[in-house]
Amino acid sequence: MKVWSIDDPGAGDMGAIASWRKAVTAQAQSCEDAIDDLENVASASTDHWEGKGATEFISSLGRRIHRLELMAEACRISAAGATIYIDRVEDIQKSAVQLKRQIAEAQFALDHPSIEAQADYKLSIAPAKESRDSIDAANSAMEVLAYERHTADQNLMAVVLGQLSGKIDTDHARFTPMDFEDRLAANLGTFGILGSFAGGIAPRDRFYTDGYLPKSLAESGHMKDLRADIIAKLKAGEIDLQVPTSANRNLSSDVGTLFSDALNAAYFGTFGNLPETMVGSFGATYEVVEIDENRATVTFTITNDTTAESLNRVPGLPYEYFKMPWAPGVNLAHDFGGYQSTGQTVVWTEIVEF
Amino acid sequence: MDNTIRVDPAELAGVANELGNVAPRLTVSSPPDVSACQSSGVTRVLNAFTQELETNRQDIQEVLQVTADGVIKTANDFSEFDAELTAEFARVMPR
Repeated sequence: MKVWSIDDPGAGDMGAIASWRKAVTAQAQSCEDAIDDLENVASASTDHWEGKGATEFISSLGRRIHRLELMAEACRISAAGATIYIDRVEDIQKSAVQLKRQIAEAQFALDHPSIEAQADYKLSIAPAKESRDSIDAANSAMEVLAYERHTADQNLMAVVLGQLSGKIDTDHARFTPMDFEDRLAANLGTFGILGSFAGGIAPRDRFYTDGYLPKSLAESGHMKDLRADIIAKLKAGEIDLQVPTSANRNLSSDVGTLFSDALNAAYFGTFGNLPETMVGSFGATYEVVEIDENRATVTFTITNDTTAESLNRVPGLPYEYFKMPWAPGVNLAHDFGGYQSTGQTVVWTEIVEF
Repeated sequence: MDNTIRVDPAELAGVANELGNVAPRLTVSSPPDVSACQSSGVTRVLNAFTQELETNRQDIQEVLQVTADGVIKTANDFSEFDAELTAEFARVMPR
């Protein structure tokens, strides 16, 4: 499938997203209508029913209503995310069109110098420089737009995945430690991720909602600390429902943690947690989507970019002066299509007790 | 407390009819193709969301339909109510 590229960060038909938003909004409405109908059935028709069967019947309707409420909410929030995405990408598209026009005009001026400029060599230098500067500026602006498009994509994916994991998929997994086979699969799987990254064959965006990567990240030391912090805040009543909270992890200056992770991964019989070592620094948010007495449903979203620069970087030291010994090889491979930047988004949901 | 719902069979038929009307209304038109947005990550996530939504919708629809059928069966033969409806509920309730 063709995807947008740095040459055209405004590529794509937002009409497709608008149609999706319309369908999802219609689904939310039909869920809400069904909720009204079921509430009418539950309250008007059965308030005088008696017996265990009646209790079960009402209870069942209640569960259906709750599930429909979650679906409707997920649809509404995802549709709102799509609206933000469409607005942002349409702005990017307008800017990209202007920049492409700027590049085309400057290129035309370079290719077709004026008669005066051709007649006078000195005069030709200024317009040529002006055109080249204009092209450079437009290309730089295009790179910024590409980053903004990438960010917009990531944001929409995080919003929708959060709803998917937290509200649509009702089979919430309680956090359980991985067994040996899972841990082995997690660590071996990391080599596959790194291999596709090194080979330049990894998709630009990768996302994981189940499998070994969410499992292994959920078990990481950082997440255990974060989970303990969330539980403490839940006990203290210090967490607001459905408010994404940042819990970023920055290892760029935390050499000790990085190396202890690497040592764990390399030497200990538990295989450590190589996926987390691979991910290293990451953006993280958690959101408490529901609280039921002493149980809370929490959605975690991890975002991370795997880049050649990151691979070459010596943690804690300035990249400009100190690089890993393999940097020349990585940079050479990068020029031939390997080690191209890829983004990872990992989302999972847990039920924590407090 | 026994397993009986003590209610007029005619009322059960009315409830079944209402439940039967709810389920079809959950159906929406087939989701649009979003690949034209030319972002492979976004396309995959939106498709995954749509797919899960449809799975949930079908599941709820099936449960409501089974419940409505069970209520209708009860209304038609009130004497078999306990065994029939309770068994149906036991099958679908945990979901």
